[in-house]
Amino acid sequence: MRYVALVLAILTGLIVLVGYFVPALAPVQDMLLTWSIILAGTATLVGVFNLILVHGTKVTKREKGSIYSALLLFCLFAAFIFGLALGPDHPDIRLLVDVVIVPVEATLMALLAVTLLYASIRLLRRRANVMSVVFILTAVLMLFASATLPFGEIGPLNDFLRPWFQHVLALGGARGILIGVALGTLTTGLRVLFGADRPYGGK
Amino acid sequence: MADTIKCPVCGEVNPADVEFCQNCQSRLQPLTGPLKGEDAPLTPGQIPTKKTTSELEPILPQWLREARQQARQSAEDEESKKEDEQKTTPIPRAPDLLAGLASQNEAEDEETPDWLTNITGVPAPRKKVEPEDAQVKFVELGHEEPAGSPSEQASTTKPEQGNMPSWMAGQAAAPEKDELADWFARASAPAADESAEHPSDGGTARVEPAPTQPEPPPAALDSGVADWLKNLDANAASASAPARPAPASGIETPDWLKNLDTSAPAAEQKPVQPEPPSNIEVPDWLKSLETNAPVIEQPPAQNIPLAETPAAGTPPSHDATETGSEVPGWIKGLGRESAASQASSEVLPDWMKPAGPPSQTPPAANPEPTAEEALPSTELPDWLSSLKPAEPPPAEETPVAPILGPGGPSTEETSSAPAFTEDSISSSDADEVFGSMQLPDWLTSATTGQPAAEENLPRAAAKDESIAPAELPSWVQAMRPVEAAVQESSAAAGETAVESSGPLAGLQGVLPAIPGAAVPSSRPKSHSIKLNATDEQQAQAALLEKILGAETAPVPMKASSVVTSQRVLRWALSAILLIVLGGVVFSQTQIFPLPSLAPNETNSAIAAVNAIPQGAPVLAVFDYQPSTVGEMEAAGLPLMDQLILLRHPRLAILSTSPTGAALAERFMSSALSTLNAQNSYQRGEQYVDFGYLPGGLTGVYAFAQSPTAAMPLGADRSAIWQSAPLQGVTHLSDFAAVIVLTDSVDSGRTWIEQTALERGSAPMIIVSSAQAGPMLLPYVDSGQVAGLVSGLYGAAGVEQANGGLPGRVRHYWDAYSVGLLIAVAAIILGGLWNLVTGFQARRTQESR
Amino acid sequence: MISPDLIAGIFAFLLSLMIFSYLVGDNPLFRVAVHIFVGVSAGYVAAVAWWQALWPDLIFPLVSGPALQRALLAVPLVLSGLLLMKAWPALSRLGTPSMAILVGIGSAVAIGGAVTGTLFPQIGATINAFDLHKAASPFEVLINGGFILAGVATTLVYFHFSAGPAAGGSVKRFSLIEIIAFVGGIFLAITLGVLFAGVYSAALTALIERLHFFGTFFGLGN
Repeated sequence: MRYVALVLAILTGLIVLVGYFVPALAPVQDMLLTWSIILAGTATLVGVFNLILVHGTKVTKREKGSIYSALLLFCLFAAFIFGLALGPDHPDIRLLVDVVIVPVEATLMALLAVTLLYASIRLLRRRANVMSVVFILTAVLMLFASATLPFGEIGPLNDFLRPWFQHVLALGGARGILIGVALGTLTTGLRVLFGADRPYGGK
Repeated sequence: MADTIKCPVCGEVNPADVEFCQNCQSRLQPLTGPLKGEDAPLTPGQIPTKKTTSELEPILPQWLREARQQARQSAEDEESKKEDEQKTTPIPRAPDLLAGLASQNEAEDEETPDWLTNITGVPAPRKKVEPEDAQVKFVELGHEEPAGSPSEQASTTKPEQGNMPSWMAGQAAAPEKDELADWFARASAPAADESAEHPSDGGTARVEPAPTQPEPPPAALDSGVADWLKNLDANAASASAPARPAPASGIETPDWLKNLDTSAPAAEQKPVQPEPPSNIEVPDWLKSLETNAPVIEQPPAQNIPLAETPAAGTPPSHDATETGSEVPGWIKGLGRESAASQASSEVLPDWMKPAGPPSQTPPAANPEPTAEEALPSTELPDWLSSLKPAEPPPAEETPVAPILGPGGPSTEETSSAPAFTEDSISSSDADEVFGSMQLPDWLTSATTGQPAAEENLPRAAAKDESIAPAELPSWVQAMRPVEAAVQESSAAAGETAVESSGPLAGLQGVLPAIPGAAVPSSRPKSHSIKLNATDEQQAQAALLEKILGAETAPVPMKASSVVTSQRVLRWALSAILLIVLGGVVFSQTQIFPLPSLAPNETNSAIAAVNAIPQGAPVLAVFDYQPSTVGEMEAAGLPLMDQLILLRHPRLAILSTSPTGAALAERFMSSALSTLNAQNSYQRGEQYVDFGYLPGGLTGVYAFAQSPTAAMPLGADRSAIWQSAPLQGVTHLSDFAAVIVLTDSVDSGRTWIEQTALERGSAPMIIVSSAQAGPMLLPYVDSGQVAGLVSGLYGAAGVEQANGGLPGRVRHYWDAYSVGLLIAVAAIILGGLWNLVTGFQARRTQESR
Repeated sequence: MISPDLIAGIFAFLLSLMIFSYLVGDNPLFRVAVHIFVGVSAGYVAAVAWWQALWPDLIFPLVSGPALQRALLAVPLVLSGLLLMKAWPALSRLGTPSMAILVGIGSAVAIGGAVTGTLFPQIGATINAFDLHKAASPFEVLINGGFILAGVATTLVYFHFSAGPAAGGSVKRFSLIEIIAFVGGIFLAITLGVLFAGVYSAALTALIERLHFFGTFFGLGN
């Protein structure tokens, strides 16, 4: 099983990678990509099943917080059954998103405002070095430059400093990060395709 | 040495940390902690320091303090009234634990307190006497057995076992461990002469450290000698008086000794008293006691009764042995000197036989019974009451008195008691033993002071007159080392003496009844619990203890206040944001103007939208999460409104997020129509919904490669590719533009990367959250993205360029600006504050 | 008569309020809201995965597709069945081949996208930053291009962690690398500061949206 998985990973990966440059492999590449989409959808179900098992175990064993798990399972099965029955495109199912998912997630994001503000205040107490000071100053500058005052904008700040920071200084750093990420992706992918890394459990 | 401790009762070697003897269950450790004093085992992190034990006197029992006070007073009084004080005055209250000890002749059947275990002759383990060396083994009171053979001892004790309490049975069961008997057996050995030749070694070299040395009274601190020891010194001085017929015990001894004396006044007054001292061999410690006494005139050796004690093997001692069958050995030694010694030892309780003095005084000559009886029994503690004789037999009381004084009969008795126990430890072994023990300072000085004592000691007393082992009762022996030690080391008088056994165990400054300080004792090991470590080692150990303690000590929860302050800060920030922003939102103010100038990337996005052909198919990717729905709708609505309003595109909606399809539908059917009624696009006619595209970047790449294969059906499971909006679209490049609304850098990067080769000339326009915009700018700069609308700020520019149509950005802008300004103020003020406090904290920490 | 929209609004309002209660501290209301959210999300996602992933790409073609397509889809069907075994620990090994295919294809796609979509274009853009035609002032181009180039290069050096042995047995980066990395750290700090401002702006906008929702719910806003 281990070598089968290794061979499958390398083989399918190489076919798709070569398909970038060899048009003749496009049909095979498309087929594999379709398989991958199907497996990704299945993997989503696996994740949901795993969630059911975890919380189901909590409920059956009456562990601490099992009442919350029971509530979670109830909501999960209700949403899943109604979703299967009506389809996710049904207005009532979309209402489920509007009424439950959007308010909760949006409120959690709103809480982040308080948390970030608090963290930024505490930063210099925790770590007062050059990078922290530059970080805070830049953040303050960008926040101040993103707002307007009742009497209008602060010209140089909004018209010069903010664009320059964002399009020159921050862009250089961001680009460096993006290139670094791309290089990391390249090396990691190659290690997988060469069988050096087997994150799928091949070892 | 520090690892084990020898039981003073049975001689069993026990681990140093045990509290009770594993053999006889006798207490090995002091009872109370607070009174342990400096001689207590070192506690972790504690460096032994000298203490003035007089400071601890207040903690003594009231009766003991009174006794000590009386002792001091009597010592002062007796200086001027020696003769009068020869008559022992009864102590109105029970003075000490030894009071009435001699009168226990008939009290042995009564339940005896445990402390008497150590007093009443509990057989100690046999120890070999080292007569030749200068190390004196201190015998605890009662440890010695009667002089004589062990068989004799057994014969005297066995009959009593039936009536004995358990502790007595225990002591009687081990007669072979008697030390004094062995010592006495060797008293006539030539080695005794050797010890007499080296008096300086005699009493001090082996002087036990001071754990049991009585605490000197404050008055005696100057001279380093306790009052009662001064009394002993005075006794020694008085012993030098030729006419001194009676022991000076009643003159200068403390009260407790007086009390002892009260039981034997007859012994002082009897005419035969002056005689015995001359025949009694004086132990070394007594020699040094006399010779080194700094506060007394050096008595002539020939006048010292102790010096006159016959050496071992001298006729008097042999006389005493004649009564060995009936009298304990030590009594034999005493009895040989007087007719009173013929008093039958049967009168004595058996347990007193080893401790009891010989009956030297005729009963009629003993005035003490009246004095003893005059002592109100109601004032006596129970134990003392039990000790009080029902009828003071003279033969029982008289022995006590002679012991107390260095002269006269007392000296005689002292000499008759085996001052040196036979100890199996050889001289070298003993040196090792005691050398490994850290001697207290006073003892060290006492040892060093020996030469002077030797010098002061008359030759006759030091050498010629061999000192025979005294036939002291064990409890009397307890007095000797103290006396000797104090005399020899006055500077060390501040050392504390801690009672290690008996009812006063743990108390400092207790009466010298418990030996160990200066009396030759058989229980040196009882003090061996003291660490054998130098001051430096102890300091290092203390440091290590401190370090370890710091490691294991719980860190104070300073976080409690910190957490509280943090929570308060968080609450304050929350309150400020909610109240201020809520007020601004609810008031629907529009005080803060929108930015007049849109960012360049926004202008590029507007331009790209405007460049889309009329009615062209446009792919709109809704890749944001419900968490940012407010921002993404606010940022995307102006651009989409402009697109729809101006370009009337055929829209195809797609999402790589499971909830994206629902959010896209929310955007199209609700938000967009709310913004502008003209934008009420109808699904299936103006736009189609692919729904959810699984697989992440793989799905995106698959869709880019072949949209029809990746998404064969629409969100409503319809044949979407046959719908009107997608007419003529089979490839990604067939779309006139790809508009990606995303709140994630990864999502935007995925669409940029995976569609780069398949998109063709179709521009990509990104509407992003403000959190993803900065990371997507490089793609704008590189030309891979035609335009970018980032956050509310970018959307404001689009809204400004959208014909002044007020959108959601306008509704949010005042609150948005206020929120940003609050953040700026909070960060600046809070940051400065925390910067300063942080520096201060670090500086404080560094200074520490 | 209470309309369904009002009920939905009340429910959304209550859920939002329960989540906001976390500002006071963790509490049962917050946990209830979170568990409801997770349960509904998981159920909804499962339904979406079934209807918008498995059904159109697997089930529907298997039912109505041509024979060849059905035969080819037998493979992902089996792989999907094996992948489902991942949910049970005892059978999870059976899902390894399916995971291997997912990882292999994903790695290949990531490599292709990183190379063609980021590496080459971004390196090219860094070089093109010195294109004098991009701005009216060559000085501005040089300055901006220089900063961008410096930012890219130093940031990349910042993530260069190779080091050599130093005195005392420790390891340390070369001095030149250290200096360049320090400059890269400054650029990174600026970039992260800009990102922080963006994140706070997004969170602030979400907060405003929630407050706006509350205002709308109580008729205070529009």
